[in-house]
Amino acid sequence: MPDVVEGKLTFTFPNSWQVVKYDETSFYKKHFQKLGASRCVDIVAFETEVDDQLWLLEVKDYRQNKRTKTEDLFLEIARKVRDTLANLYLAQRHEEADCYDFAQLASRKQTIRVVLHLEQPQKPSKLYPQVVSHTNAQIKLRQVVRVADPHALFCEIAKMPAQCQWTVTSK
Amino acid sequence: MLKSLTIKNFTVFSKAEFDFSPGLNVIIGANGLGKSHILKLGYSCSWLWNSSSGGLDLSKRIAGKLVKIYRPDSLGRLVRRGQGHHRAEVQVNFLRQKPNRLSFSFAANSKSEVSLGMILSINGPPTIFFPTKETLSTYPGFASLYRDYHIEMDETYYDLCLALERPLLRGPRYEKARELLDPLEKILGGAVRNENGRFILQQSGNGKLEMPLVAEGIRKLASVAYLIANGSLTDQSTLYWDEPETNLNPLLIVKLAEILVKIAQQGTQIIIATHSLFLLKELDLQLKIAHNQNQQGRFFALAPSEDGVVVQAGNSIEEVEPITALDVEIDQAERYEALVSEVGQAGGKRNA
Repeated sequence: MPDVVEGKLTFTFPNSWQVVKYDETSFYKKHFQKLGASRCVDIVAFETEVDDQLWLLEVKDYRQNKRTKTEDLFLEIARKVRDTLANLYLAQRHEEADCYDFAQLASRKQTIRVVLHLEQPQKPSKLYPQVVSHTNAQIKLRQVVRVADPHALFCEIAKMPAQCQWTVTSK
Repeated sequence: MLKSLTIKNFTVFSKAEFDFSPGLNVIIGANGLGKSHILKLGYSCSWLWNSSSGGLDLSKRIAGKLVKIYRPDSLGRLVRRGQGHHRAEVQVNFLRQKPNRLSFSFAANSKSEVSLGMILSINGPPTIFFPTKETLSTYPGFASLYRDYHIEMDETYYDLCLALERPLLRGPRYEKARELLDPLEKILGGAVRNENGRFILQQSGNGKLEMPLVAEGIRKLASVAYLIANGSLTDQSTLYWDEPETNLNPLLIVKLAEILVKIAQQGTQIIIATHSLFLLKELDLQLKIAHNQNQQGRFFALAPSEDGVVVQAGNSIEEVEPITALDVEIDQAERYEALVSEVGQAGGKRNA
């Protein structure tokens, strides 16, 4: 099963999936990293047999890392989605790219899905059980990436939507 | 029902177009961006459509209605101020069995007349405007007071009192109205009745309650109940409601959203303006749940721009920006987080 480790989180995908940590492809490093501000989402994945969706996953773990200001977080995700899609579009036109085959298959997928996986420490507060509330975050996420995916998903280990076929475990 | 509203140089708008859903419509935006202006304009036009007797004096009647509803010093004050000479232009499309259109314009120095373009023909269905303050407790004598004296209140209150004057329906129409009345009366804990010119809540168990003794939030829902019971809100009608959430506890806001979705399901068009993120989310949620029953909702977000207020419309709240109430709530959570981490760090230092 393809496993992807992001910090303390492990994403386990079913066997029929192809998964790439996009920042680690040499195509990205060669052509995009030098642009400085350009960054990709953490994981790009798709199911190879029946599912016609291309999944772009961004992972944030506020239990481990410093928080990004909420407003900036959503802008950052929108930019990463934009850059990832631009990267995939170019990679499938460059046969020499290490992610050429992956990008070829990915570009044939009908629907683009965007997922923000966010783990937050639980606050001992009645008014703010979570600093970024699940529903508010989902609305904001859909607002910023709706041109790519009007039904973008906000996930955490405790609340995984049924559409997500992968599992997430934490060390 | 109101199909669309197109305006130019009207109050805070330089150019805006609203395509309404036949079901539930929600207008959001910070204070002063013209939410109530849109509601009042739609209402004035619906009211004229309902009471239209053709082209006779229509120009004067439009001007008169706008002045009574908005209460400016003169009609021309409703023209957007800016460089050059502007004319406010309004075009409204209605839909009953046949489409029906009204268009008119007026200049900054207009007083009592507008220039007519398209003219209304057939009579439209009744329409209702709920202003932010409830009217049920101040109802006794208000209509005659308004008619005989100069009171600094806009005419929406008077119109609402006139609608409340009607007696209750009977027969098959009343039986149909019961579908909406039953859930409403359950929330109210009784039925609303007009007893010698004063409204009371006829409680299910223990007697009656005079309307001024009923909680303010409940009184608004009581008005809705009575207007359904007396046939003022029927299918094809449009209900305009400015900030329906005022005075309501979130517990009742959930019920309010249920009732609004139910009323829309029965064929009454609803156009509301709200500041409440909670109501907004609740309506979005209930519309999504009711989606299978062909329930349509539409959201309009107003935002300031260099060229007046602009509108963004969508079929769910995720499709529109900005949602000020949401941004402010997220900002509040940010400030809380900043405080908590600051206190945490300071505490850490002290311990070290």
